[in-house]
Amino acid sequence: MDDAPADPTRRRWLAAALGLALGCRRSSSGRRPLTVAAAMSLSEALTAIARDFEGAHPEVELLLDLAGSQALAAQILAGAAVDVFVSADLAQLQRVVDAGLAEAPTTIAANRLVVIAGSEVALAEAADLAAAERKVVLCAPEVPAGAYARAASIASASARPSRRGSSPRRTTSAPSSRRSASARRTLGSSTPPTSGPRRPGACG
Amino acid sequence: MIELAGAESIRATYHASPLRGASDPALARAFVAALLEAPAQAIFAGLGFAPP
Repeated sequence: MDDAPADPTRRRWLAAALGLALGCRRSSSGRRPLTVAAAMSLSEALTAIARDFEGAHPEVELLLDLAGSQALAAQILAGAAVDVFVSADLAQLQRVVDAGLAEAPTTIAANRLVVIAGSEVALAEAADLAAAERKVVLCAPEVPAGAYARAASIASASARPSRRGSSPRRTTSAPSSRRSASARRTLGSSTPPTSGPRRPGACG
Repeated sequence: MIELAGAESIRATYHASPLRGASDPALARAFVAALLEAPAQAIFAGLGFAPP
């Protein structure tokens, strides 16, 4: 979706601007900076891991660039100075590998699909999502949580026919920039919702 | 959170790649290796992620 050819001059300016932006984030602590571009959904895990990594490598300052994987891939392809790319979105990572900008990906973790629903909602299997009139909110299809949720929905629908007399399920997509909206009742969320405002873009 | 029967086979996986233009390629690879080590995996596990 963001693969439209760009004017070369414009691309150079964009790359320079992104590089400058990242460069400005580097402190003058004297430590060697290591910039990790990572999907927003990994923010909690990577913040803790970065602390441990810096403890083991005191000469290193780890800088986390957290955003949606699509945006991160676009930044890297435009020339942003990044050292490591971490994502659940293998397609976005593969774009960077195919461009010759990254080494082959290593699988580092996995998670399982869960649904978050009100206590009055009885759910036992994925097919139950279609058993009654309910509003199901999924992440957008272009982000991993949304794609996996749709795959689960399709798998459950093909494994079990719809119950007679049930109302059609209404499914809506949460904007990828609104984790708080999608986390309330989401198939495919990697972490439970917490109280208080959430950072935008976490659905990616 | 409810784990639904019928969706067990679908697991989201997370991946990491060192960039070829990394300022310190050895350090970038060391960070990816650290993501696979026990302390990092314990952090992932604490947040609901499984080992690869």
